[in-house]
Order: sequence, then structure tokens, then C-alpha cells
Amino acid sequence: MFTSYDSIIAALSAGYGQDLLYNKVTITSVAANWYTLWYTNGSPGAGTAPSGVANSAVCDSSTTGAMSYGNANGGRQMSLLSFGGGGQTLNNLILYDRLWHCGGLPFVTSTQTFTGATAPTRYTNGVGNGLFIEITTASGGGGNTLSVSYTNQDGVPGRTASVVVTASSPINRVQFLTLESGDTGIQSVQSYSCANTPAGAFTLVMYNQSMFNILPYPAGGYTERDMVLQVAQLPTLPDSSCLALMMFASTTSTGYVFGKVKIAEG
Amino acid sequence: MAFISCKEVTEAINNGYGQTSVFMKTSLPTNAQQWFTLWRQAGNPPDAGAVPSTGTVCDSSTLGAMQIQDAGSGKKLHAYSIGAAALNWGGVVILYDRLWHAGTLPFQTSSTLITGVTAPNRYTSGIGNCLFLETASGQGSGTYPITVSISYTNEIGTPGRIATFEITSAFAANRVIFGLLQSPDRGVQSIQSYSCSSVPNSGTFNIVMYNQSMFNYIGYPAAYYLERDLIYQVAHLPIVQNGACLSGLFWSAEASPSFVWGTIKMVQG
Repeated sequence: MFTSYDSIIAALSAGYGQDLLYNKVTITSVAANWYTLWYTNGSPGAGTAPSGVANSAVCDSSTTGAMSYGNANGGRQMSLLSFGGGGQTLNNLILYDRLWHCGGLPFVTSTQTFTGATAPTRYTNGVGNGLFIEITTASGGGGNTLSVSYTNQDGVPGRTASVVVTASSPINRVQFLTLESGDTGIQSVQSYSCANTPAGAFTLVMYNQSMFNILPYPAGGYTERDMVLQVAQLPTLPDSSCLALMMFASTTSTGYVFGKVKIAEG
Repeated sequence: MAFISCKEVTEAINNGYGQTSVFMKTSLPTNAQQWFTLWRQAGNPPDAGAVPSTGTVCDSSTLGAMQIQDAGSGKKLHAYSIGAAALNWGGVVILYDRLWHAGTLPFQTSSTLITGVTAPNRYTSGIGNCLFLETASGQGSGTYPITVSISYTNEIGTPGRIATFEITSAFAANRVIFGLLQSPDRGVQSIQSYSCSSVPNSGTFNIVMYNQSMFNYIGYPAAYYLERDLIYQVAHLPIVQNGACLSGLFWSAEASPSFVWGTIKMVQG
């Protein structure tokens, strides 16, 4: 691990840095809402999510849609040094580690039990793990409470995360779930159910808050956030992190976006 | 050798181991908010480059490359700042190491072998090597989008992998199109062939290989020079390989900037 700024410079000079480039085409959005870029064409290519509760799965750096990189060598630890981005439209871009997902989920009132993988392989103690949904088929009218049963960071099962899914949510819309009061994370998920049954489908995604980095950039410009001195964060990347992007949209389309992620091991 | 502290970098600069390379490019392409290559644009330095029709390694002696001096024996060259500005409008410049290129390739639906040299002589492991297309001459009417598929050998030596590039409409000359390696590849060792999903009435393109580790963005506001420190401002200190063929890509917020310029500062240690 890095013990000083000099140790970062030494690692970079010795060739222990990696640059992960990305670009994504524009998608339709509504201002002041979150949108996933997981399914968006570009580089890395569009990802998918396994469909149905029987196919819930862990995500890693080899998952289609993830940014590809090499793990840290033995005895070393990978850290995020900077996150840069730019594009056609002023936006806030988010880089996160996609831990687990399950797609093609309908809005149904009966309890649906996940029978594929139910726990992530990174951040396994659950602390800081959260959930969001991605709308993959536009939802119907009427607000709809989605409830997800999970085991919290202390190993207590039967806890409930929830969100009121916005009526008529468009495709790619992201909404975050609220954990049950007092909880600080999720070790595993068990099932979900909804208050009613509008049309539409969604993907449930688990992420970790410690690897959730926000970058604002101006229209037609590029900016880069240093994670060492500009904002003292230096988040650690567990091996095989599934690095992905989402966006807080400012207008009716996200615009073409490009940039790079700088990581290094020390 | 390599730098082991910020102090060493500063001392190397003070002791005369630094160098600055300037670029000035004119007659820029005019479309706003699209990537264009600066390789073939007039300028001084560097002059406009060319792209041979057979696969060719690019280096610092290639016409079109920025002027740099290799690191001395036992030393490595690093970029410690990059800066850019353009007349009238804000935008983004990328300074990159152009490893290899093949040019003026016609659109063909049949598989077409790349002749000449097919692998770079820097970053030879292939890790981090990627491809982009440059439109050598603008396309005419046709059936769009056109998918250009390039067969390559990946970073672990597996041949027959396919990178894809989508040309969504008739692009102007010098447009840059980024593509996608086959998942989960992390790089390219060499190129074998290409084919296209359809053939427009006119137009040709270049294939260019670059490495992600020497691919540096600098954004700048309108008519204002902005420099990014790569030591303290963002901890990058990218290694510039001996013989690197440094060139630029260009993105403008608005159409018609007539002049873009900037610098890259390097130090060896």
C-alpha cells in the first residue's frame, strides 16, 4: 500500500500505473435524474444483466460492460489516483464498483426469491454496500414501492430496503434504495416484492459506497479529479472490481462522454 | 532507474534533464464536439504527417511526430505537465503516443489483409494497446451505420480477436472513431485484417494503434491556455517510451477554431 506521496510517484515511475479509457454514446435522459451507462454502447461495450431471480450473479472485471484492468501484483494494493471525464453536455459522472446484479425483474406483488448468487465477492462484510435499481423496460403509471429483503452488515437477515419507483420511469433510470434504519450495509439479498404491478422491468444492483466517485464536468470540456491531494480519498480497488459508470443528467440527453481512470498499485 | 520521490523529479528538472515540446496546429477541422486527428493538420512544429498504405511503426522520427529527445542510458522519460489552448473556443486535446498506423484503406466487405509491419515496437506485450480509426477522406452516401471489424492478436497472443468500430453517418475527413476490443481483452499485440459491413460511395480510412498509458487529456476554456501538472495536480507521471511518436487528437466545443497550440514537458530520471 502507499505510505506517502513519494511512494505513489515511485510506483508510477516504475510502471505500476494503469490508465483505463472509456467513452459512451449519448442516451435519452430527464434532467436531475440518475441514469445508468451500463447498457450503453461505447468502450467498454454495453453490459447486460442476467435475467431472472434464478440467475442473480456477481460482477467482476471480466464481466462484459466492466472496465478492463489488471489486478495488483502479490503483496500490493490497487488504488484510484484520478478520475477524469468530459463530454458534450454538463453532467455529473459517477464511477462505481458493481458488485452484484440481477436483471429482467418484473414488478410483481408476490415475493420473488433470488436463487443464484446472493452475496458479493468483494466487500463481503457488507459495510457500505447499498442497492439501486436500473429501469430496463419503461415502467407503468403510479408510484410503486419496491421492497428488497436483505441480510445486514451484522448478519441479521430479514431486513428491508425500499424505494418508491417513480411512475412511468424511462429506460436506464436509476433509483437508490433506502436501507432499514440503523443499518450500514448489506451482506446478501434474499428476495423482493412490490406493492403493485405496473408494466416494466428492472435490474437490482449492489454497489459499495467507498468506491462511488462523483465527477462534474462542463459542456464541451474535460476535467479531472485527483484523488490524492485534490480530494484526499485514494479509494482502494479490491481485485477484479467491476468498474462502471452512471450519470446525474442535466438535460434531455446525456451527450457523448469520454475520459479516463488512473489507477496504480503500491 | 526511475524516480522515487517528488524531490528527485524537481532536482532532475533543475539539473537540466527536462525538455519541452511545443505543438501548433492550424487549418483545423470544423465540426464541433467530435474527435479529430491533428496528425495530418498543417503546423509547425510538428509538420503535417502522412499515413502510408501499408502497416508501419511510428516513432519520434516520423514526419508529424512532436520533437522529443530520448532518455539517456539507464533513465526513463516522463511527462510532468501538458497544456493546450485554442483560438476562440474551449475544447479538449489528447496527447498520445502513435504506435503504428496503416492508411488510406478502402471500405471493403471482404476480409482484407494488412500488409507491411503489423505490430508496434513499443508496448510490445500489447497490454493497454488500443485502436482508433481516422477518416482519411470523407465518406459518400451509403448504408449507415457501417461497422468496420478489425482482426487482431490480443495481449495474451490469441489471434482472430475482433475489434469493432461504428461509422454512424458520412464522416468528414480527419474524424476519429474509437472502437471496442473484444471482451475481455486488455490490449493488442498485432493487426491481421479488416472488413466492413458495407461500402459507401467514397471514402477511405486509417487504422491507428495507441497505448492507454500514454493518452493524456487536457481541457481548456475559450481562448485561455491551461496546463495540467502531472505530478502534484493529478498523480500520473506517464512514462514516455524512447522513440515515442507524440501526436494529438482534438475536440472543440464549437466549430471553427482556427488554431490550437500547447506543450508537453518531460523529464528524465
